[in-house]
Amino acid sequence: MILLTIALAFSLTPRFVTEAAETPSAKPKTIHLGLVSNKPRERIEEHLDLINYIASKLGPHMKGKVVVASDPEQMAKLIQEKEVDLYLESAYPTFLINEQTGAKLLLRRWKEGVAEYRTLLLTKSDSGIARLRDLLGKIIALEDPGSTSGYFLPKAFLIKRGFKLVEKSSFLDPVSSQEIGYVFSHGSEKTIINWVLLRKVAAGALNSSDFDKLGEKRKRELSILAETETLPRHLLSVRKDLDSALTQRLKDVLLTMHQDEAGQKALKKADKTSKFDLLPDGEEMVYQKIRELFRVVTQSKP
Amino acid sequence: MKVPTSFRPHLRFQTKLAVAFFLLIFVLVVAFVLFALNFYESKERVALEIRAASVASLLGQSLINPLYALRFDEMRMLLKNLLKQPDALYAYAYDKEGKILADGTGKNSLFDTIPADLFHSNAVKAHRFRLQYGGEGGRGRADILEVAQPIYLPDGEKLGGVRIGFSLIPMQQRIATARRYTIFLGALFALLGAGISALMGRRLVRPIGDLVRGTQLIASGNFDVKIPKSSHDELGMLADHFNQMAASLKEGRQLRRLKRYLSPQVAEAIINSEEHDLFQSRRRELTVVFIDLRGFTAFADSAEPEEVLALLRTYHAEMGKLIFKFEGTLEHFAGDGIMIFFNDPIPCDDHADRAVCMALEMQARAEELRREWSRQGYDLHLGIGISTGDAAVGNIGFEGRMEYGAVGSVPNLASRLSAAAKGGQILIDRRTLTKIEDFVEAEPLEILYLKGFAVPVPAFNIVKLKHPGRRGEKESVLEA
Repeated sequence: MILLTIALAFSLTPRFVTEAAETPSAKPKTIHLGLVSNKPRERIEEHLDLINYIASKLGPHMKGKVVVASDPEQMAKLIQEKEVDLYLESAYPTFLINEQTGAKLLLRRWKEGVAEYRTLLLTKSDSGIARLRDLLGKIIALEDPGSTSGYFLPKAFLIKRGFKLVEKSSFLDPVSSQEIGYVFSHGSEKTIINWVLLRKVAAGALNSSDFDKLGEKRKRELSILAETETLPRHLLSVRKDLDSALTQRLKDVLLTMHQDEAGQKALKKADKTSKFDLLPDGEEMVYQKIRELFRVVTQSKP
Repeated sequence: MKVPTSFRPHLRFQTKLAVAFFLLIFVLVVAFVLFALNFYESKERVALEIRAASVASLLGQSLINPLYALRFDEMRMLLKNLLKQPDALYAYAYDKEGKILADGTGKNSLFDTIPADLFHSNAVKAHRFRLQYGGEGGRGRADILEVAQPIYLPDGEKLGGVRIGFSLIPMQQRIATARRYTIFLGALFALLGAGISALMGRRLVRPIGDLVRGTQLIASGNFDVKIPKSSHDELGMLADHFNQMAASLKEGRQLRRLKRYLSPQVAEAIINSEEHDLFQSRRRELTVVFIDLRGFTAFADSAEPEEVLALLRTYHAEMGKLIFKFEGTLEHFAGDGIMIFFNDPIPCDDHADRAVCMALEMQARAEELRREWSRQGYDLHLGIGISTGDAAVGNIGFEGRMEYGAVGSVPNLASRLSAAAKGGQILIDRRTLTKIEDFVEAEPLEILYLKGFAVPVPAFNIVKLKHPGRRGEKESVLEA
């Protein structure tokens, strides 16, 4: 029975794939916005106005649709199958997806007025940890393995400074004095802060944008042990074979939509997006930075 | 079949009233019980329907993400949690084609099947929440409530749905318990109602019973009845009116009795007076007048009875008018004999004057009658005796046959004087004379030896009034 269940489960591809097979004629008139999340309902709800706004600006017969993939791999697959025309992601997954699919970076996405961010390694003020070396033999908290600020940036940062990081399943696991252990919180930034304050972990990784939102009292309880280099806050990419004229029109719409009221409303609803702008140093500079960090991270793997 | 009147049971009014009250209370209790049960059942059903709809809606919301991403474990976990509810029989999530993706059981045995029932196929096509009662016989006898909630993405795309079955048995058990309690309470109230009905019937009928007993007493001649006033409502008013009626009847009877002896105006005056016990036995000074006809025995022997009665009727009527005129008390008739006395029950200082004046007018009227009788061949003449003195007056006789009268030597003397009087004479004794000698002329007669009197009795015959004008004054005073 279990085998039958597994077999049938594999035979059932997610609903957007089957839809694509059923409605090929709808493709030319529908522009698909891709997102990676395990909460499709909430993401669709948030970004529906954004894609509808974009579609309305692209042409009178255009319709918008939000497609949610559960992970970057699935998103890459959807792009390759032309089920996604543009997608929004942070730098690290964007690098992974674009490397796999050839999708192109188009614009930078500002969130809550922030264009770039970094990761802060935080420890409790009275923890006695003053330097990165004090973390040796201890466990730190990272967010999840797909997160740019919660995993990619802090891990690359520590490796580049010569520390050896090992993943632990629990913060009770023993850690060698030559290593820094890390556990994933798989939750919000609040979980990491709580772990730090409760001394469950020696330090935790938090992006600068989330840290800025903390109250003063909470900030005083924490001390910043280190700051990583910066990366764009969020990125928008398009699949490589998207019509160039359409891509240009899309770029124009996105760059100006924060200037009108309806566009502003749609942006704000879409995960507090402030606006889209051009990558200041171009697409290649971003890739170069991420590629370097990626190399550091992947080369350190045992 | 119509029951013959004679065989119909005669229920007391109190019983009828109590039965009516009880039936009313019983009907009300039954209506209330039915209403309460129906209301409770409806409330339970509505509550279950609302809960089922809420659960389906919430579950549908929670299933959007796992259904979108086909996260089967998450779907099964959500459904499994739902099945922890005691009345949840089954729950499954299906895709937009109706194929079951997760059923919340450990084995997930319904996976990839499409239920063949009509509700499922309708639910798959439906755009909105659906609900049906399933089981043996529709809503009334159903044992399961089934709900189906379609699941949509925020952009309106249908992903599938969730279907849940709730057992109605816990609800039916609650309804059955409520029914038992309600019926028990209803029976209790009905019994209480029966008690209250009996009490109310008794309470309401008691005044009526008092009235019935009162009327029975009045019918038996007892006017001294007074029924208690038990309330201030119509029944209380009825009791008041009844007592007033009894008092009026009593007064009426007294009046009728007085009218036998007294003139109507005197009788009214007595009734309206505040003095009670008018007929109480007592001693009082009286002037007693006895009249009878000389020659009546011979006439009665020779005449036909009808003639005798006709003559007596005329004679009594004429004498009666004069008795009433002078406000005398008619003690009795006995054939041609009539006894009248003055000064009781209404006291009057001039009782002797009145008696003598009446006697004179009687003789005058008798003279007129005598002329008529003579024409008819009857020789009849009126003799009158008057006596004054203390006598015992009051009711004489026994309960049911009482007569108001005077006894003693004074009535006897008046009677003997009347018997001694010749036709046209008015014989009085000395005591009477002392009271009236100022305004009448009387001639002394020979000493009379009367039967029953040990000593001779001086007697006087009244001839006329000394001053007819003064007599007129006397009459005026009397009339005033």
